[in-house]
Amino acid sequence: MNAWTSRLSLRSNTLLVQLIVLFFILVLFSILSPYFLSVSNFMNVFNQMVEIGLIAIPMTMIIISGAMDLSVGSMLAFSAVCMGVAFEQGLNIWICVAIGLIAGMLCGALNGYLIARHRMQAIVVTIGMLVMLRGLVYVINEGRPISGFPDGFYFLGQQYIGVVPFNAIVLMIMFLLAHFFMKKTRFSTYIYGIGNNEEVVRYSGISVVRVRFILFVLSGFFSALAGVFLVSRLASAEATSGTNIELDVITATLIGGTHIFGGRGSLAGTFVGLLIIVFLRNGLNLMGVSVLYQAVILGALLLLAVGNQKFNGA
Amino acid sequence: MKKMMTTVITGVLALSLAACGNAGPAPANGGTEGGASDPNARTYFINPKSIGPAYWAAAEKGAVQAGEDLGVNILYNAPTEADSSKQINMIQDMLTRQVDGIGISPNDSKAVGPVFRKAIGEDVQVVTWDSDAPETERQYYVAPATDEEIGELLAQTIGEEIGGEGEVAFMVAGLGSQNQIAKSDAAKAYFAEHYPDIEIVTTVSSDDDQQKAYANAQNLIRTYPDLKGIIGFAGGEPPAAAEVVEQAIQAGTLEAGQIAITGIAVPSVVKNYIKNGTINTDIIWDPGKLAYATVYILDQLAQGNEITDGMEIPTVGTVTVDGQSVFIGMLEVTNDNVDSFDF
Repeated sequence: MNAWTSRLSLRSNTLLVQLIVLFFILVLFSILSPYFLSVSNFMNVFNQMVEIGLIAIPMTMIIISGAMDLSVGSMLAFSAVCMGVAFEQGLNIWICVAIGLIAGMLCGALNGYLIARHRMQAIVVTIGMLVMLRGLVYVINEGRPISGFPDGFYFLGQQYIGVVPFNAIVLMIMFLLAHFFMKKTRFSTYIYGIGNNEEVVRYSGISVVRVRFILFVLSGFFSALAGVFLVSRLASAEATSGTNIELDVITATLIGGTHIFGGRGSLAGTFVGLLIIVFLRNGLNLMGVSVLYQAVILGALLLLAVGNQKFNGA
Repeated sequence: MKKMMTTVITGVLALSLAACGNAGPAPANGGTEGGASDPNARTYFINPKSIGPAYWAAAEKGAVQAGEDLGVNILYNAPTEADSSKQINMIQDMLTRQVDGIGISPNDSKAVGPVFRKAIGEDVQVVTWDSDAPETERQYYVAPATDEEIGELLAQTIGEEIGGEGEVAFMVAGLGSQNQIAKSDAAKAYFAEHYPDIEIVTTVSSDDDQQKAYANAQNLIRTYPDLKGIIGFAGGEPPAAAEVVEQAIQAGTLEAGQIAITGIAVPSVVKNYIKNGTINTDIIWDPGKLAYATVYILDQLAQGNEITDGMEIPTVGTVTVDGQSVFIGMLEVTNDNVDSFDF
């Protein structure tokens, strides 16, 4: 009986638990803070979660495939600064955006090349990139923030359509597209397959190298996209952008039920995980809780999520 | 069943931590939630660059003290790392909370522009403190002295100590931070004018990370064996440099007095180094008074009062107002007076 129910609805059941946690957080803060439950606060939160959310999409895929990308924050900053420097050279802002995106994809391609082609450890390679790219960022812009972008560019991160921030709409569309992609395409089956048993996938005649490479390029692209939105939202490209963002992204992914060793996970879960961490942070901020306690609470939540996960896996 | 338990435990945990967090760090804000406290009391958000360093902890005391003296609520909070986007998220959250004023020490002087504009639009008072954002719509900037004055004073101190010639290294907390750039540029200019024989060999940044500052100092003394002076432009840098130099002296790789150190640091942190003679002069202002003045200025603005030159701020003293800047003055810490500071 027990085995039957757990097999039938393992994933949807996990999602249900996350939704309950999210609902609990929303109700809790609505009671505790009179400012929490308002359209403007919710839109404010949606506006803030875009960068983490964009990167969480490829991160979920990569973790499902049994790897990890720790260099996302540095790729974000690298793309942002490349874009800023290109702009300072007097190029059109949209060409600069393209340059930023290409820079991100190149970084991702380098990650992918080393990890997929040379079968190096993903964590080691991406830690290397994390440090190296961050250093490069300081070299390129000499540590000084770049600003003064044209008003049209700020549309991306600061404009609201009706009451909804434009960047949140983009995030939603991206999530829906990626969700559809992960449900319907053969490529997504390969991703789950590699996470469960890489050898079997390889012997089935599928190019594991190609799948892994594409995933890391995707990660570079989305990190760069997050960088573009961040620069637009903050009106400034700075060397410290995206520092430690990988922790938030991975926390959202893991709270969302993606298994750290790969093979299991879903974008719907990641999205709920994302909402949990951003609303938790926002609610605690509104209550004036010191960040030191916020870190404790987030960490405890992560431990519970991962503990719960191991339970499912067994 | 077990999942339900997990859910419940998570909730209870969040609730209890939230409750104790609320009581702990911000005593002045006792029970603002749910409108239990005096609903007429004004609330100000005082935002340092990060939470953790001793400097900001000293500032918190001053802010809380001002809150008690003026009968207003103070929320003192910041991200754990000096990160601009997290800081701005927090400011946005505080605007949602409808605070009456915000006192911000911006990590990026330009990135705070849009959120300041939003705050002003919502009739929230905006003051920067410790680090400025001159190109934004902030109303006032509360500082100990101009960055130029501090940078020049530091350069003059080290120039005198090393006899006007030799290699000097700069240690800063952040390469992108406006106040760090302005101070180090002023020091550079002072050397160029008064001590042309002093060569600035490098500028290293710790990103406000104590371990990194320490590692930077170790690298400095190894990379530049002829180094004669180090200037630390932020609270964490001089103690890191002094610790490394003292260790090198004990290990015999460096002679006592070979490297002169000065900088900006809280007296309690550098007390031992000053007594040992590793640091002769340390420049500081009272971060508590700086935060106190910030709260006071915000409260004056919220009441519609004018900020005038020579005005008297209780416990802080007379301040100089120059345009949109408010200066509270600096202190020099030496072996003679190091015991007289309580922060």
